[in-house]
Amino acid sequence: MEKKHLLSREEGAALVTVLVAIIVLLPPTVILAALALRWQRQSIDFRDRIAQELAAEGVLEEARARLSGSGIDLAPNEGTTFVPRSIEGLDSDVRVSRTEDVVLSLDGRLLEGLAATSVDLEQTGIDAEGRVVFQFRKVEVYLVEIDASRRASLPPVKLYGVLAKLPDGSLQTLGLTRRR
Amino acid sequence: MAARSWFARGGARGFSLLEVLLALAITLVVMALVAQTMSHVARIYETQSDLAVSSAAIALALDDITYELSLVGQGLGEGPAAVVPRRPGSAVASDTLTLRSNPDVRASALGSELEEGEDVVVDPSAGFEKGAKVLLTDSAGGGEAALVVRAEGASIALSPLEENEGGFRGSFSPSRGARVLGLREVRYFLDEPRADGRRDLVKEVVGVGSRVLTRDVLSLGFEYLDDENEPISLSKVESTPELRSVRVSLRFLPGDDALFAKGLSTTVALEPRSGSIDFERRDLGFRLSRVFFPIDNPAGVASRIGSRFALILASGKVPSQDRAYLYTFEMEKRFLSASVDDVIFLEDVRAPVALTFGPESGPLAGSLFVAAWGLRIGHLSRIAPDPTGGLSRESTVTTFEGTDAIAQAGGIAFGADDALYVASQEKGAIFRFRFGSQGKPGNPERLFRLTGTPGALVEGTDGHLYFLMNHGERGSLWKMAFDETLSPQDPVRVGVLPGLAISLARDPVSGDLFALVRDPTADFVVLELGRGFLKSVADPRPLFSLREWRDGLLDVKTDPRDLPFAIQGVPALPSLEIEELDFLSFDSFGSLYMGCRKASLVLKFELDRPSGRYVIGLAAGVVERGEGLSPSIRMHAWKKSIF
Repeated sequence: MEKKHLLSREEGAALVTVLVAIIVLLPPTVILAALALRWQRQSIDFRDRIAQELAAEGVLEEARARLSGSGIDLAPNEGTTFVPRSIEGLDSDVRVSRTEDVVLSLDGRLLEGLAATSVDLEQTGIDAEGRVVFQFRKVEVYLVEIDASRRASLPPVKLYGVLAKLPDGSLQTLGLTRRR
Repeated sequence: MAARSWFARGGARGFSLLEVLLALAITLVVMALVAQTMSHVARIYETQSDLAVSSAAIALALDDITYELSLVGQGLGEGPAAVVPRRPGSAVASDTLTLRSNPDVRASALGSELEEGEDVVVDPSAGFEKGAKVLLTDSAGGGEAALVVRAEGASIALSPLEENEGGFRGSFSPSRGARVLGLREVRYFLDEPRADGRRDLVKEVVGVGSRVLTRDVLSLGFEYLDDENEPISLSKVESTPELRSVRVSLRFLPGDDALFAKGLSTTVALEPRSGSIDFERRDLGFRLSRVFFPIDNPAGVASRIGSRFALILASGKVPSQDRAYLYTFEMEKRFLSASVDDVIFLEDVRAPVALTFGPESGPLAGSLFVAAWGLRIGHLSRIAPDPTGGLSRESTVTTFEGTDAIAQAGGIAFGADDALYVASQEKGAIFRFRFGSQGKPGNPERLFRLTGTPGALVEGTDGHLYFLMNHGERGSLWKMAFDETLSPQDPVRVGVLPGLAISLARDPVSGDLFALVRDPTADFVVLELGRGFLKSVADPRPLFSLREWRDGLLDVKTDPRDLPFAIQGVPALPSLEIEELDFLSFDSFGSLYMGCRKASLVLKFELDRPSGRYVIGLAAGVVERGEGLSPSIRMHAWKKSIF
């Protein structure tokens, strides 16, 4: 075996050199890695938040479809939940509740509670051109509450939708409220 | 073998000075290279850091705008402009945006006339407080911001938020449906440019304050789009109901040493924020408004846009021998006031089968074109307008040279290229006639050969031609589109119709196509071919059945002679012996006509159309009440139109 020809006091010099190099390069590497991780986290958070919002909108559409079909049938002051179609990696809780029906009068008044139950919904009038015009229209009001969450470390998106079912069975969105 | 150093002296082993110097030199060179590389890396790192920081800030700013756009209009309902491309008191600009909403859904109708500083009656449950910003609006739409200067239960006093010498810019009265709404206003704009041309993007929430969202912005652009993704003029954004989405674009220079500008853009769709409830009853069907009799072998009805008169094209009793004529009448005459307004005889025209007016944009404007049937040779005639612009006995009638392209024409219509298109049943083809400067048609060009029998042809609101086609007893609707160069494209089938397709017309009010078909039970049915059908996502909607209409009338009156339109001397009407229909047409007012050759009748119907007068708007929002409490819904309603 070939014998090493090194001065005894030079033994370990390579190790020292490598250690020095590591010590010099470590701080910028750590800083770079930290920054990269932070930006990556920001980027992932941004992406996930968008995904949460889109998921919440998708769930609202599903609730709309169920309400306009026969999927959800509620009496006033009743509520229910359903499991939305699964979206991979996203948890969403949804609750649909029906409030007391409201009645709209032809003069634009909103009648609620007892006032809404005491009117004759079949009452009609005929205008100068012979059109048959209702005096009151009943509206069923539904509140859809959606919580969409991607992961525990990201605050969930809350979406509230107020939907109205008209006497002809059609469904209208009266308002959407988002909370981030 | 023992290693031997060339520079070793006196048996001492180790490195000589020269060796050390050489090693040092090599080390220095390597270090210099490494340092240079590190310098490059550091610069790239710095640039990328700036880019990342800047991009992240820009992306977050864009996200902020997107989020605020998703809230716009909440709780306001229809009427007030929620998206405003300017700051208060300044002109519209593409780099400025004001967004309005009413997140707490505070709203009330005004109970009395509004005067600056004077108390006005409102709904106390709306909860307006002193110092709150509100928005005033009425049935005319638009909106004016105001400040609550006094609030006491059911009355508040307001002053305009924008400086204006004469108080409020608009007048707000209960008689015009004035209402007051809570207001949250968010503004986005660019600050003054710095020396290097970069600007700060500022977000200002009225009543809260402003903050810089991001720096290094070169330009900010808001583009407003309708449902076809076509841009809307900035001056119309506040007033148009067509606004559907907003495209936001940001250009920025990342860091101090950036060579090139970067850009980010996104488009945000605006969501519905309110609904409307119609108070009209819609299940009344068609209403017969006039009867034309006797009209020998009627072929169709047409009217020129803007004219008070319409005309019925008819043959004589024996179409191949008797001269054709145009029966002209005033469209707005009421039921049973029918009288022969005028008859224009077309001396050289026999057996007319189709008619259409020339395009309004060219020299053929006001001219009526009539296609006449022939076993082998058909004729095209032009009835030019008289000096007053209408059709009368003074109109010049020109019959052009006969051609087999028009023999047994199923329909004629002008296309987007101002050429006349003819569906030939005999040839099973679509022909095109281009017109010269003298208003004379050139030779027919056969464009497309079709496997089936083409029929009526009309221009849709999208500028493309639609025509009927029959394969035996099975009808269908076809579309012949025009490309950007106005060249017609190969026809494609749009959808199948439930029966033999007989006639096709376009409703000028709704823009929808209507088809007349004979269904398998031999009933004649009018179908609405709405946009859903044209996009192949919906079936045609039956609107009228000849059999049901007759049966319904006979149920009402046991004796048909008691019917209000049972005109003495009209043989078919008292007994309602109308067993078939041959065409359907619309006039420019949107009245529908259907003709029966066998009974020499043309029936005019008024369709039930929504008047839009009895519509109440309804908006709602959700207000959170804290942890553990379920949120509450706030709603408000208003008259969308004053009646």
